[in-house]
Amino acid sequence: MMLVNNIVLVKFLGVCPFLGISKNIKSAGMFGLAAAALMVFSSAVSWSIYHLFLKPFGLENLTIIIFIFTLAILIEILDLIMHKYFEKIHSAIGIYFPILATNCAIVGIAFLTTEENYSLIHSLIASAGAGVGFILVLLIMSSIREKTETMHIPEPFKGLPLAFIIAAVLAMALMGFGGLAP
Amino acid sequence: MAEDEEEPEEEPLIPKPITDKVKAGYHFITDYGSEATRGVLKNNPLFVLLLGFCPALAVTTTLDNAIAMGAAFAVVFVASATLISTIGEQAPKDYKKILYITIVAIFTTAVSIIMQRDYPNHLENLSIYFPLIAVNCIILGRVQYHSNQTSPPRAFLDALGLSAGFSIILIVISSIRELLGTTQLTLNSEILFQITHPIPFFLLAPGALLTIALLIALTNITNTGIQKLQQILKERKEKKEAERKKLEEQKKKEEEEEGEKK
Repeated sequence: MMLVNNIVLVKFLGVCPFLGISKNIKSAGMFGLAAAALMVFSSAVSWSIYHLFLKPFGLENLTIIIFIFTLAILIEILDLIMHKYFEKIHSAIGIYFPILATNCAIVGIAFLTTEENYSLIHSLIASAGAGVGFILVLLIMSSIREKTETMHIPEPFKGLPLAFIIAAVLAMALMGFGGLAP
Repeated sequence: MAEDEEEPEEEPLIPKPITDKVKAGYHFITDYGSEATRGVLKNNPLFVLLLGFCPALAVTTTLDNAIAMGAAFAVVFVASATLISTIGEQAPKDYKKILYITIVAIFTTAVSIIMQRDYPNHLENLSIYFPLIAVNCIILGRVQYHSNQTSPPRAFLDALGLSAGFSIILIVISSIRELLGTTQLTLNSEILFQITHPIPFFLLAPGALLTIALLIALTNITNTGIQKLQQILKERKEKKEAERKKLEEQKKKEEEEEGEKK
Protein backbone atom coordinates (compact mmCIF):
# COMPACT_ATOMS: atom_id res chain seq x y z
CA MET A 1 0.00 0.00 0.00
CA MET A 2 2.83 2.36 0.78
CA LEU A 3 4.91 1.92 -2.35
CA VAL A 4 3.24 -0.51 -4.74
CA ASN A 5 -0.27 0.90 -4.59
CA ASN A 6 0.69 4.42 -3.67
CA ILE A 7 -2.46 6.27 -2.81
CA VAL A 8 -1.66 9.42 -4.77
CA LEU A 9 0.23 8.23 -7.80
CA VAL A 10 -1.41 4.87 -8.49
CA LYS A 11 -4.85 5.11 -6.88
CA PHE A 12 -5.16 8.84 -7.65
CA LEU A 13 -6.75 9.78 -4.36
CA GLY A 14 -5.95 13.18 -2.91
CA VAL A 15 -4.47 14.65 -6.07
CA CYS A 16 -5.86 18.14 -5.39
CA PRO A 17 -3.97 18.78 -2.13
CA PHE A 18 -1.01 16.95 -3.62
CA LEU A 19 -0.78 19.65 -6.31
CA GLY A 20 -2.04 22.54 -4.23
CA ILE A 21 0.06 22.23 -1.11
CA SER A 22 3.32 20.81 -2.42
CA LYS A 23 4.98 24.18 -2.93
CA ASN A 24 7.16 24.17 0.18
CA ILE A 25 8.50 21.31 2.23
CA LYS A 26 7.43 22.30 5.74
CA SER A 27 3.73 22.80 5.11
CA ALA A 28 3.72 19.70 2.91
CA GLY A 29 5.14 17.60 5.75
CA MET A 30 2.63 18.91 8.27
CA PHE A 31 -0.23 18.41 5.85
CA GLY A 32 0.91 14.86 5.15
CA LEU A 33 1.08 14.11 8.86
CA ALA A 34 -2.47 15.38 9.43
CA ALA A 35 -3.73 13.42 6.43
CA ALA A 36 -2.03 10.20 7.57
CA ALA A 37 -3.50 10.51 11.07
CA LEU A 38 -6.96 11.06 9.64
CA MET A 39 -6.58 8.12 7.24
CA VAL A 40 -5.99 5.71 10.11
CA PHE A 41 -8.87 7.31 12.03
CA SER A 42 -11.25 7.09 9.08
CA SER A 43 -10.43 3.47 8.30
CA ALA A 44 -11.06 2.52 11.93
CA VAL A 45 -14.37 4.42 11.97
CA SER A 46 -15.52 3.02 8.64
CA TRP A 47 -14.65 -0.55 9.62
CA SER A 48 -16.63 -0.33 12.83
CA ILE A 49 -19.61 1.33 11.12
CA TYR A 50 -19.69 -1.16 8.28
CA HIS A 51 -19.17 -4.38 10.21
CA LEU A 52 -20.97 -3.54 13.44
CA PHE A 53 -23.89 -1.52 12.11
CA LEU A 54 -24.50 -1.68 8.38
CA LYS A 55 -23.86 -5.35 7.69
CA PRO A 56 -25.93 -6.90 10.51
CA PHE A 57 -28.89 -4.74 9.53
CA GLY A 58 -28.50 -5.27 5.78
CA LEU A 59 -28.08 -1.58 4.98
CA GLU A 60 -25.18 -1.85 2.51
CA ASN A 61 -27.02 0.41 0.07
CA LEU A 62 -26.71 3.34 2.43
CA THR A 63 -22.94 2.97 2.82
CA ILE A 64 -22.12 6.15 0.90
CA ILE A 65 -24.29 8.59 2.80
CA ILE A 66 -23.64 7.15 6.25
CA PHE A 67 -19.86 6.98 5.79
CA ILE A 68 -19.59 10.52 4.52
CA PHE A 69 -21.95 11.98 7.08
CA THR A 70 -20.31 10.32 10.08
CA LEU A 71 -16.79 11.05 8.85
CA ALA A 72 -17.59 14.73 8.35
CA ILE A 73 -19.14 15.03 11.80
CA LEU A 74 -16.47 13.01 13.60
CA ILE A 75 -13.63 14.97 12.04
CA GLU A 76 -15.33 18.20 13.07
CA ILE A 77 -15.65 16.87 16.63
CA LEU A 78 -12.03 15.70 16.61
CA ASP A 79 -11.01 19.17 15.52
CA LEU A 80 -12.94 20.74 18.43
CA ILE A 81 -11.48 18.30 20.99
CA MET A 82 -7.95 18.89 19.78
CA HIS A 83 -8.52 22.62 19.82
CA LYS A 84 -9.47 22.44 23.48
CA TYR A 85 -7.06 19.89 24.96
CA PHE A 86 -4.06 19.59 22.65
CA GLU A 87 -3.42 23.15 21.60
CA LYS A 88 0.14 22.49 20.43
CA ILE A 89 -0.69 19.62 18.10
CA HIS A 90 -3.74 21.48 16.88
CA SER A 91 -1.80 24.57 15.87
CA ALA A 92 0.63 22.40 13.91
CA ILE A 93 -1.62 19.97 12.03
CA GLY A 94 -5.17 20.72 13.17
CA ILE A 95 -5.57 23.70 10.84
CA TYR A 96 -5.79 21.30 7.92
CA PHE A 97 -8.60 19.21 9.41
CA PRO A 98 -11.53 21.18 7.99
CA ILE A 99 -10.07 20.88 4.47
CA LEU A 100 -9.28 17.23 4.97
CA ALA A 101 -12.78 16.30 6.16
CA THR A 102 -14.00 16.20 2.57
CA ASN A 103 -10.77 15.02 1.00
CA CYS A 104 -10.79 12.19 -1.53
CA ALA A 105 -7.90 10.42 0.17
CA ILE A 106 -9.47 10.29 3.62
CA VAL A 107 -12.92 9.27 2.42
CA GLY A 108 -11.45 7.09 -0.30
CA ILE A 109 -9.45 4.95 2.12
CA ALA A 110 -12.66 4.20 4.01
CA PHE A 111 -14.32 2.88 0.85
CA LEU A 112 -11.14 1.12 -0.27
CA THR A 113 -10.78 -0.91 2.92
CA THR A 114 -14.46 -1.87 3.01
CA GLU A 115 -14.45 -2.84 -0.65
CA GLU A 116 -11.45 -5.12 -0.15
CA ASN A 117 -13.18 -6.63 2.89
CA TYR A 118 -10.15 -6.26 5.16
CA SER A 119 -10.19 -7.24 8.83
CA LEU A 120 -9.82 -4.46 11.39
CA ILE A 121 -6.07 -4.89 11.93
CA HIS A 122 -5.44 -5.36 8.24
CA SER A 123 -7.32 -2.18 7.36
CA LEU A 124 -5.50 -0.22 10.08
CA ILE A 125 -2.12 -1.36 8.77
CA ALA A 126 -3.13 -0.68 5.18
CA SER A 127 -4.32 2.83 5.96
CA ALA A 128 -1.18 3.58 7.97
CA GLY A 129 0.88 2.41 4.99
CA ALA A 130 -1.17 4.58 2.69
CA GLY A 131 -0.60 7.55 5.01
CA VAL A 132 3.16 7.00 5.04
CA GLY A 133 3.11 6.70 1.26
CA PHE A 134 1.19 9.97 1.05
CA ILE A 135 3.75 11.78 3.25
CA LEU A 136 6.62 10.30 1.26
CA VAL A 137 5.29 11.38 -2.12
CA LEU A 138 4.29 14.80 -0.81
CA LEU A 139 7.82 15.41 0.54
CA ILE A 140 9.56 14.26 -2.64
CA MET A 141 7.20 16.30 -4.78
CA SER A 142 7.53 19.47 -2.72
CA SER A 143 11.33 19.31 -2.65
CA ILE A 144 11.44 18.89 -6.43
CA ARG A 145 8.98 21.72 -6.96
CA GLU A 146 10.95 24.07 -4.74
CA LYS A 147 13.94 23.56 -7.01
CA THR A 148 12.02 24.02 -10.24
CA GLU A 149 10.90 27.48 -9.18
CA THR A 150 14.27 28.97 -10.07
CA MET A 151 14.66 27.14 -13.37
CA HIS A 152 13.91 28.21 -16.90
CA ILE A 153 10.80 26.40 -18.06
CA PRO A 154 9.00 26.80 -21.39
CA GLU A 155 6.13 29.23 -20.89
CA PRO A 156 3.15 26.89 -21.52
CA PHE A 157 4.55 24.24 -19.17
CA LYS A 158 4.88 26.54 -16.15
CA GLY A 159 2.96 25.59 -13.03
CA LEU A 160 0.52 22.75 -13.29
CA PRO A 161 1.68 20.86 -16.41
CA LEU A 162 5.19 20.65 -14.99
CA ALA A 163 3.81 19.35 -11.70
CA PHE A 164 1.93 16.65 -13.59
CA ILE A 165 5.03 15.66 -15.55
CA ILE A 166 7.05 15.39 -12.32
CA ALA A 167 4.25 13.26 -10.88
CA ALA A 168 4.33 11.03 -13.96
CA VAL A 169 8.06 10.45 -13.61
CA LEU A 170 7.59 9.72 -9.90
CA ALA A 171 4.84 7.24 -10.70
CA MET A 172 7.13 5.52 -13.18
CA ALA A 173 9.80 5.29 -10.50
CA LEU A 174 7.29 3.79 -8.06
CA MET A 175 6.34 1.16 -10.64
CA GLY A 176 9.78 -0.29 -10.07
CA PHE A 177 8.55 -1.51 -6.68
CA GLY A 178 5.88 -3.61 -8.39
CA GLY A 179 7.80 -6.80 -7.64
CA LEU A 180 7.28 -6.28 -3.92
CA ALA A 181 3.57 -7.03 -4.16
CA PRO A 182 2.61 -10.48 -2.84
CA MET B 1 -59.76 61.89 -11.93
CA ALA B 2 -61.61 60.10 -14.69
CA GLU B 3 -58.86 60.84 -17.15
CA ASP B 4 -56.24 59.64 -14.72
CA GLU B 5 -58.00 56.32 -14.33
CA GLU B 6 -58.36 55.78 -18.02
CA GLU B 7 -54.75 56.32 -18.83
CA PRO B 8 -53.26 53.19 -17.26
CA GLU B 9 -55.86 51.09 -19.05
CA GLU B 10 -54.89 52.48 -22.38
CA GLU B 11 -51.21 51.91 -21.97
CA PRO B 12 -51.16 48.13 -22.37
CA LEU B 13 -53.24 48.47 -25.55
CA ILE B 14 -50.38 50.24 -27.29
CA PRO B 15 -48.12 47.45 -28.48
CA LYS B 16 -44.53 47.79 -27.35
CA PRO B 17 -42.07 48.14 -30.20
CA ILE B 18 -41.03 44.68 -31.33
CA THR B 19 -37.36 45.53 -31.16
CA ASP B 20 -37.62 46.03 -27.41
CA LYS B 21 -39.13 42.62 -26.92
CA VAL B 22 -36.50 41.03 -29.14
CA LYS B 23 -33.80 42.85 -27.26
CA ALA B 24 -35.17 41.66 -23.90
CA GLY B 25 -35.39 38.11 -25.21
CA TYR B 26 -31.88 38.33 -26.58
CA HIS B 27 -30.58 39.56 -23.24
CA PHE B 28 -32.46 36.77 -21.48
CA ILE B 29 -30.98 34.14 -23.79
CA THR B 30 -27.42 35.47 -23.68
CA ASP B 31 -27.57 35.97 -19.92
CA TYR B 32 -28.76 32.46 -19.15
CA GLY B 33 -26.78 31.03 -22.04
CA SER B 34 -23.53 32.42 -20.70
CA GLU B 35 -24.47 30.95 -17.33
CA ALA B 36 -24.57 27.54 -18.98
CA THR B 37 -21.71 27.80 -21.46
CA ARG B 38 -19.07 29.46 -19.33
CA GLY B 39 -18.58 26.17 -17.49
CA VAL B 40 -17.39 24.55 -20.70
CA LEU B 41 -14.64 26.92 -21.80
CA LYS B 42 -14.14 29.97 -19.62
CA ASN B 43 -14.59 28.25 -16.26
CA ASN B 44 -13.67 24.70 -17.18
CA PRO B 45 -13.52 22.86 -13.85
CA LEU B 46 -10.45 20.81 -14.69
CA PHE B 47 -8.22 23.07 -16.73
CA VAL B 48 -9.15 26.53 -15.45
CA LEU B 49 -10.48 26.07 -11.92
CA LEU B 50 -8.03 23.18 -11.38
CA LEU B 51 -10.41 21.05 -9.35
CA GLY B 52 -11.47 17.43 -9.30
CA PHE B 53 -8.49 15.65 -10.80
CA CYS B 54 -9.01 12.38 -8.90
CA PRO B 55 -11.75 10.96 -11.16
CA ALA B 56 -10.21 12.54 -14.26
CA LEU B 57 -7.04 10.53 -13.71
CA ALA B 58 -8.43 7.33 -12.26
CA VAL B 59 -11.50 6.50 -14.31
CA THR B 60 -10.31 7.47 -17.78
CA THR B 61 -8.93 4.12 -18.89
CA THR B 62 -11.87 3.40 -21.20
CA LEU B 63 -14.40 5.60 -22.97
CA ASP B 64 -17.36 3.74 -21.44
CA ASN B 65 -16.10 4.46 -17.94
CA ALA B 66 -15.64 8.14 -18.69
CA ILE B 67 -19.14 8.50 -20.07
CA ALA B 68 -20.67 6.68 -17.10
CA MET B 69 -18.70 8.84 -14.69
CA GLY B 70 -19.61 12.06 -16.51
CA ALA B 71 -23.31 11.18 -16.58
CA ALA B 72 -23.47 10.20 -12.90
CA PHE B 73 -21.51 13.32 -11.98
CA ALA B 74 -23.86 15.54 -13.98
CA VAL B 75 -27.00 14.08 -12.40
CA VAL B 76 -25.66 14.42 -8.85
CA PHE B 77 -24.27 17.92 -9.44
CA VAL B 78 -27.35 19.37 -11.14
CA ALA B 79 -29.79 17.90 -8.61
CA SER B 80 -27.85 18.98 -5.53
CA ALA B 81 -27.01 22.45 -6.87
CA THR B 82 -30.67 23.13 -7.65
CA LEU B 83 -31.83 21.88 -4.26
CA ILE B 84 -29.20 23.84 -2.37
CA SER B 85 -29.99 27.04 -4.26
CA THR B 86 -33.62 26.72 -3.17
CA ILE B 87 -32.49 26.44 0.44
CA GLY B 88 -30.30 29.50 -0.08
CA GLU B 89 -29.60 31.66 2.91
CA GLN B 90 -31.91 29.74 5.24
CA ALA B 91 -29.23 27.16 5.95
CA PRO B 92 -27.87 27.34 9.51
CA LYS B 93 -24.47 28.97 9.37
CA ASP B 94 -22.48 26.64 11.62
CA TYR B 95 -23.71 23.40 10.07
CA LYS B 96 -23.79 24.58 6.45
CA LYS B 97 -20.96 22.37 5.30
CA ILE B 98 -22.33 19.19 6.86
CA LEU B 99 -25.78 19.94 5.46
CA TYR B 100 -24.38 20.36 1.94
CA ILE B 101 -22.26 17.23 2.18
CA THR B 102 -25.29 15.27 3.33
CA ILE B 103 -27.44 16.52 0.45
CA VAL B 104 -24.79 15.63 -2.12
CA ALA B 105 -24.28 12.23 -0.48
CA ILE B 106 -28.03 11.53 -0.58
CA PHE B 107 -28.13 12.16 -4.34
CA THR B 108 -25.02 10.04 -4.86
CA THR B 109 -26.65 7.18 -2.99
CA ALA B 110 -29.81 7.54 -5.06
CA VAL B 111 -27.85 7.45 -8.32
CA SER B 112 -25.85 4.46 -7.11
CA ILE B 113 -29.04 2.53 -6.35
CA ILE B 114 -30.45 3.36 -9.79
CA MET B 115 -27.19 2.37 -11.48
CA GLN B 116 -27.05 -0.88 -9.55
CA ARG B 117 -30.39 -1.82 -11.10
CA ASP B 118 -29.81 -0.63 -14.67
CA TYR B 119 -26.05 -0.55 -15.25
CA PRO B 120 -24.38 -2.84 -12.69
CA ASN B 121 -21.29 -3.37 -14.88
CA HIS B 122 -20.55 0.33 -15.13
CA LEU B 123 -20.94 0.77 -11.39
CA GLU B 124 -18.52 -2.07 -10.77
CA ASN B 125 -15.95 -0.58 -13.15
CA LEU B 126 -16.08 2.77 -11.39
CA SER B 127 -15.48 0.93 -8.06
CA ILE B 128 -14.49 3.29 -5.24
CA TYR B 129 -14.47 6.37 -7.45
CA PHE B 130 -18.24 6.34 -7.67
CA PRO B 131 -18.90 7.07 -3.95
CA LEU B 132 -16.19 9.71 -4.16
CA ILE B 133 -18.48 11.81 -6.36
CA ALA B 134 -20.07 12.81 -3.04
CA VAL B 135 -16.89 14.51 -1.86
CA ASN B 136 -15.82 15.82 -5.27
CA CYS B 137 -14.11 19.19 -4.96
CA ILE B 138 -15.97 20.63 -7.96
CA ILE B 139 -19.41 19.90 -6.54
CA LEU B 140 -18.67 20.89 -2.95
CA GLY B 141 -16.76 24.02 -3.91
CA ARG B 142 -19.36 25.24 -6.38
CA VAL B 143 -22.22 24.46 -4.02
CA GLN B 144 -20.61 26.31 -1.13
CA TYR B 145 -19.47 29.41 -2.94
CA HIS B 146 -21.87 29.82 -5.85
CA SER B 147 -25.08 27.79 -5.86
CA ASN B 148 -26.31 28.90 -2.45
CA GLN B 149 -26.18 32.56 -3.52
CA THR B 150 -28.06 32.40 -6.83
CA SER B 151 -31.55 31.57 -8.02
CA PRO B 152 -32.44 27.93 -8.80
CA PRO B 153 -32.55 28.27 -12.62
CA ARG B 154 -29.15 29.92 -12.65
CA ALA B 155 -27.67 27.31 -10.34
CA PHE B 156 -29.20 24.60 -12.53
CA LEU B 157 -27.66 26.00 -15.72
CA ASP B 158 -24.33 26.65 -14.05
CA ALA B 159 -24.14 23.07 -12.78
CA LEU B 160 -25.15 21.79 -16.21
CA GLY B 161 -22.40 23.79 -17.91
CA LEU B 162 -19.72 22.77 -15.44
CA SER B 163 -20.59 19.10 -15.65
CA ALA B 164 -20.60 19.35 -19.45
CA GLY B 165 -17.11 20.81 -19.34
CA PHE B 166 -16.01 18.09 -16.94
CA SER B 167 -17.48 15.26 -19.03
CA ILE B 168 -16.06 16.58 -22.30
CA ILE B 169 -12.56 16.57 -20.87
CA LEU B 170 -13.05 13.11 -19.35
CA ILE B 171 -14.13 11.86 -22.77
CA VAL B 172 -11.12 13.46 -24.51
CA ILE B 173 -8.63 12.03 -22.01
CA SER B 174 -10.19 8.58 -22.00
CA SER B 175 -10.38 8.34 -25.78
CA ILE B 176 -6.70 9.26 -26.07
CA ARG B 177 -5.72 6.74 -23.43
CA GLU B 178 -7.89 3.92 -24.72
CA LEU B 179 -6.91 4.42 -28.35
CA LEU B 180 -3.17 4.54 -27.66
CA GLY B 181 -3.23 1.90 -24.94
CA THR B 182 -5.32 -0.84 -26.52
CA THR B 183 -5.18 0.10 -30.25
CA GLN B 184 -8.96 0.47 -30.50
CA LEU B 185 -11.62 2.85 -29.31
CA THR B 186 -14.76 1.02 -28.23
CA LEU B 187 -18.18 2.30 -27.26
CA ASN B 188 -20.58 -0.37 -25.93
CA SER B 189 -18.19 -3.01 -27.35
CA GLU B 190 -18.47 -1.50 -30.84
CA ILE B 191 -15.14 -0.60 -32.39
CA LEU B 192 -15.09 3.03 -33.49
CA PHE B 193 -11.48 3.51 -34.45
CA GLN B 194 -8.33 1.42 -34.75
CA ILE B 195 -4.57 1.84 -34.94
CA THR B 196 -1.87 -0.80 -35.45
CA HIS B 197 0.56 -0.61 -32.55
CA PRO B 198 -0.44 -0.39 -28.86
CA ILE B 199 1.44 1.70 -26.28
CA PRO B 200 0.36 0.05 -22.99
CA PHE B 201 2.10 2.85 -21.09
CA PHE B 202 -1.00 4.99 -21.50
CA LEU B 203 -3.21 2.56 -19.60
CA LEU B 204 -0.95 2.75 -16.54
CA ALA B 205 -0.82 5.47 -13.92
CA PRO B 206 2.07 7.56 -15.34
CA GLY B 207 0.38 7.61 -18.73
CA ALA B 208 -2.66 9.32 -17.24
CA LEU B 209 -0.52 11.97 -15.56
CA LEU B 210 1.46 12.61 -18.74
CA THR B 211 -1.67 12.86 -20.91
CA ILE B 212 -3.20 15.45 -18.60
CA ALA B 213 0.06 17.41 -18.42
CA LEU B 214 0.32 17.59 -22.22
CA LEU B 215 -3.37 18.52 -22.60
CA ILE B 216 -3.04 21.39 -20.12
CA ALA B 217 0.10 22.62 -21.86
CA LEU B 218 -1.77 22.45 -25.18
CA THR B 219 -4.66 24.51 -23.83
CA ASN B 220 -2.16 27.04 -22.46
CA ILE B 221 -0.54 27.35 -25.89
CA THR B 222 -3.87 27.79 -27.67
CA ASN B 223 -5.03 30.31 -25.07
CA THR B 224 -1.95 32.48 -25.52
CA GLY B 225 -2.35 32.11 -29.28
CA ILE B 226 -5.96 33.28 -29.14
CA GLN B 227 -5.00 36.22 -26.96
CA LYS B 228 -2.28 37.26 -29.42
CA LEU B 229 -4.72 36.95 -32.31
CA GLN B 230 -7.26 39.10 -30.49
CA GLN B 231 -4.59 41.72 -29.82
CA ILE B 232 -3.57 41.82 -33.48
CA LEU B 233 -7.21 42.16 -34.57
CA LYS B 234 -7.72 44.97 -32.04
CA GLU B 235 -4.68 46.84 -33.26
CA ARG B 236 -5.88 46.53 -36.85
CA LYS B 237 -9.30 47.86 -35.94
CA GLU B 238 -7.79 50.82 -34.11
CA LYS B 239 -5.57 51.60 -37.10
CA LYS B 240 -8.51 51.50 -39.48
CA GLU B 241 -10.58 53.77 -37.26
CA ALA B 242 -7.72 56.22 -36.95
CA GLU B 243 -7.39 56.32 -40.76
CA ARG B 244 -11.12 56.86 -41.14
CA LYS B 245 -11.05 59.74 -38.66
CA LYS B 246 -8.16 61.32 -40.53
CA LEU B 247 -10.06 61.07 -43.81
CA GLU B 248 -13.18 62.63 -42.26
CA GLU B 249 -11.16 65.50 -40.84
CA GLN B 250 -9.54 66.09 -44.21
CA LYS B 251 -12.95 66.17 -45.88
CA LYS B 252 -14.28 68.62 -43.31
CA LYS B 253 -11.26 70.86 -43.79
CA GLU B 254 -11.70 70.81 -47.55
CA GLU B 255 -15.39 71.67 -47.22
CA GLU B 256 -14.58 74.54 -44.88
CA GLU B 257 -11.94 75.82 -47.27
CA GLU B 258 -14.41 75.65 -50.15
CA GLY B 259 -16.99 77.50 -48.05
CA GLU B 260 -14.46 80.21 -47.24
CA LYS B 261 -13.56 80.60 -50.94
CA LYS B 262 -17.19 81.06 -51.87
